[in-house]
Amino acid sequence: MIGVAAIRPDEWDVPLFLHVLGALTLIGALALTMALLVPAGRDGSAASLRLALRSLTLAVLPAWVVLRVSAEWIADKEGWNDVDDPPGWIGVGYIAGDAGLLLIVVSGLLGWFALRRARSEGDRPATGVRVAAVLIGLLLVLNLVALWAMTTKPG
Amino acid sequence: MTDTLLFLHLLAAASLFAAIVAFTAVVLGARLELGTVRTFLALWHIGLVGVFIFGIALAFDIDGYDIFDGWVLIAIALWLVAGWSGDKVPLAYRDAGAATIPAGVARIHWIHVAVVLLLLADMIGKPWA
Repeated sequence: MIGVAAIRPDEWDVPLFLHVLGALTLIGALALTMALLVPAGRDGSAASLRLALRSLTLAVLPAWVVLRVSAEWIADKEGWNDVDDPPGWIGVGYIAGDAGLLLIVVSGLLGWFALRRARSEGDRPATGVRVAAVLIGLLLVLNLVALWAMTTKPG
Repeated sequence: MTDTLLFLHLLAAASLFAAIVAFTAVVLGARLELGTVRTFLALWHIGLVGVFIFGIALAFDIDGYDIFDGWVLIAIALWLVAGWSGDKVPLAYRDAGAATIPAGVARIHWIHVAVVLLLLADMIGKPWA
């Protein structure tokens, strides 16, 4: 990877910058969202849940878009889109990326339903919020595995 | 060895970014629990030390990179500014209690964000390598 990085053409810099920025921001935003969902699931705090949903929509989702779009851009620049059987680390990236959107959407819906119920019935712990916290935690782990795969490039 | 160092370098950077995202939320008005802010402050410290140690180790480890390369010296200078500016928000938040973060501290935070983005651009572009 470093050997490639050292001889990387300058035109790869912008997509790679956006890709790394998107990945690091996504991991950071997922950590914040989970840190907010855990107390929301434990105490049923609507304030924490509202912040978690804002973190999900204003930080996690935009970071995921930047990560995913720049991933396609850099894959195109590096010629991976023309390869029939790409290496395993590319597959790990695609799994983390595509499963990521599904987990973000499901977590968002669970949180939104729980918030609606909290508005009508008051603060109380909700199973949906706990499930959302687990899904976001899973996505965080998936992205850390993808970070490992991108840097060590196994296979 | 190089791959592991690179992974640890980026893991530390992710830790730093997690703290920056949380502190940005505080600057934008989010009322986080003090314990949560303390956790992210710990992540910020771990990330700051980690990126430096593993970054220097990478500069020594990789043939063709030198500790006195322009981009490495720029990174060290930016890292020092990031270290100075990074913990202002959590400390102000702890002291402010229910009050809002002072405008001066918020300005320093945005400078911190810009410095970290420049640091990342320096890592990717490697000027004067």
